[in-house]
Amino acid sequence: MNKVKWYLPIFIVFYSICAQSTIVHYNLFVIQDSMLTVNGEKLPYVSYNLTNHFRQENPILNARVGDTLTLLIHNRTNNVHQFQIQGLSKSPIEILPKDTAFVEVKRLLEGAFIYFDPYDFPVNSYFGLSGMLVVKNHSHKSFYWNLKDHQYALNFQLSEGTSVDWALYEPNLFTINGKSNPDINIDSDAKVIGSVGDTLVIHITNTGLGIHSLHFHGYHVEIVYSSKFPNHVGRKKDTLPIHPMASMILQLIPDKPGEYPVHDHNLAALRANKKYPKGMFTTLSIDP
Amino acid sequence: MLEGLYAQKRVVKQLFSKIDLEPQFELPDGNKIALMGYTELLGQSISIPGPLLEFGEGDSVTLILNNYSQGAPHTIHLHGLDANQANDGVPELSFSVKHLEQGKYEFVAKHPGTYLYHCHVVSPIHVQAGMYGVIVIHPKLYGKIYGYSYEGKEYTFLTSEIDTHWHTKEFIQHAYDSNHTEISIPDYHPQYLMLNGKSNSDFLFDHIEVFSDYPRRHYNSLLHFANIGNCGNRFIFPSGFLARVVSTDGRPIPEGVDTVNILEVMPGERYDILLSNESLDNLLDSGIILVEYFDLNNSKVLGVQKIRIVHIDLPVVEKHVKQHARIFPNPTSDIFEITLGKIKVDQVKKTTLISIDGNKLKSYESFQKSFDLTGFPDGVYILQLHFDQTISTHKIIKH
Repeated sequence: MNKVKWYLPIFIVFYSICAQSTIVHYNLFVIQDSMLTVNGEKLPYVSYNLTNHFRQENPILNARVGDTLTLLIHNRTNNVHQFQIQGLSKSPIEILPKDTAFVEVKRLLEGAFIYFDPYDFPVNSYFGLSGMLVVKNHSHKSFYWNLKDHQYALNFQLSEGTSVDWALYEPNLFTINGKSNPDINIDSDAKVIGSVGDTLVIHITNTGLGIHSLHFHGYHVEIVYSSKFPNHVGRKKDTLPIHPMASMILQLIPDKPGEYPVHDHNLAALRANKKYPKGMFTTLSIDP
Repeated sequence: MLEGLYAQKRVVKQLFSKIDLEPQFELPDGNKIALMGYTELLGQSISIPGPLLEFGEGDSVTLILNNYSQGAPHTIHLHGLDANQANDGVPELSFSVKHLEQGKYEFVAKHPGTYLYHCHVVSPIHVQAGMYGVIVIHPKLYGKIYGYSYEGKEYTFLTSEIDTHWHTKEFIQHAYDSNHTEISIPDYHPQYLMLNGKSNSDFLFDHIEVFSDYPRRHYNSLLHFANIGNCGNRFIFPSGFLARVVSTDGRPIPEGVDTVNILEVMPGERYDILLSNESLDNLLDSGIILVEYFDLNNSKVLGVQKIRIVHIDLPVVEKHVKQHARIFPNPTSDIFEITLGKIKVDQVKKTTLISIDGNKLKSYESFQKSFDLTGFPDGVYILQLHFDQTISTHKIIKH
């Protein structure tokens, strides 16, 4: 893999010129470091990053329907990783320690997709290596919620190479884009801001291991995409369960102004290490 | 059901929020826990769930919360009713009601279906403590919800759980500072799985008659399911019965009725189900709806409750009514009377007159001997005599 690495950027530029569809390219760096919780604790964590600098969010990758997505994935860790885009790439590719791999997906379909590390599933995906790819066919105001749950002790166990009994999984930290309340509200990708009559589109992936039941105050939203339950498209609901490794796209056209919470209605998920209200909770901010 | 429930009207409803200073609510094993909760009267003891609130489609509703709880303030969050911010019941964004104060919440009951209400002050604690209940909005047309007919009874099932560690006196009477709402809440390990506030220690629910079936035609009962707990629920319907999802969260299923064998209801969700016999050729006397409670984090099933479906042999009752009840004159130009013969008057629990398009015209919570159709247009009307386990239907013609 190292031998071919030098010519990959040249190949991508050449490919962009020759190909008829738009090429959307990202570099993703796999980096192990620590995530900072809302309480100020540090947990061992691995994430995908757009640069060589660690961030705990896992970036939102954006493309348009019909585009070709190319990725260069740089494994900066000492462990073997894999990469797969659920529903788009057929089989995982392997990335050796300190190596780089190339991924290409042509003719992207509309939806919200999970990119993740399927190696020893759910270990690496849980440990941080899972994010969202959004393929759009609209230009409405868009928001992105990558839901995760974490159990403090397990992150330390995994960083030490200890095996984990997932049947006993009991998370005590709940995040959207790597943040808990109130920090979610300063994330411009997550914080829904709009006006009455706007078409607001919320893209959601659940890359945690638990089911999250998101309740919207003030409004019903329409399901416009559901990876797990395609027959639910068109339903208007105020409470939307989202299963692990599932994605959903919701459309909201607000009919009144105000500040309205959205939160997990598993109310135990509104805590971070037992502290309320530091969980999966954000607010919609709708102007007149 | 109240007289005139289906007529659009202005409704004012009082609720009281209260707190147990000592554990009073007895669980099946004799263990007692303290609650916070809503009651309809000040003198009532707290129970879970809070009172079932029923309104008609189109009603303008005012809920008045009178706080007599001595501790933290309370609110009423109108879960799913899309209230505006002022009426949303989130303390930081609307208002909260302190001890000995009163607050008003207003909404219009626009969409038939099943909703919840609960306190949103430190919601994990106050909801677990018992501050929750179900709101049912009945459709404007009697017996028709989102275009689908039902002739049987309506039943409401609310699931929740109890973790006794969240019900200690210290926890129920927690300190509250509106400027500093951070509070420590222990992990959640429920020991009791509740269905309409009841639970058995072995997780087997007492027998419940879910609906009466009419063996010669489909006879739908309308079931309202809601989950206010922190676990997932899986309703597993028995073979031989047909469960059709009509609406969820107070909105119709757009793709048409969805028939299910298993229905998952997650925290905060609601579903309205029509239940009937699957086949007229293979009628079952009874069945069991299994209600699984599972951990959302690891899918572990924590236990089950059971809802028994009882098939009532209606022809015997109906035959008896048809043999003895008389309506005359029929056709009529104005007044008609009903005689019951050997049927006892107190066997009739309700008498209802309905127009042919399903509008409820008159309803009495007992036997009504005569009706006056003066002023009503000529045509066909339906008279219903409600008994304990059946409804006897009679056609009246006005000319």
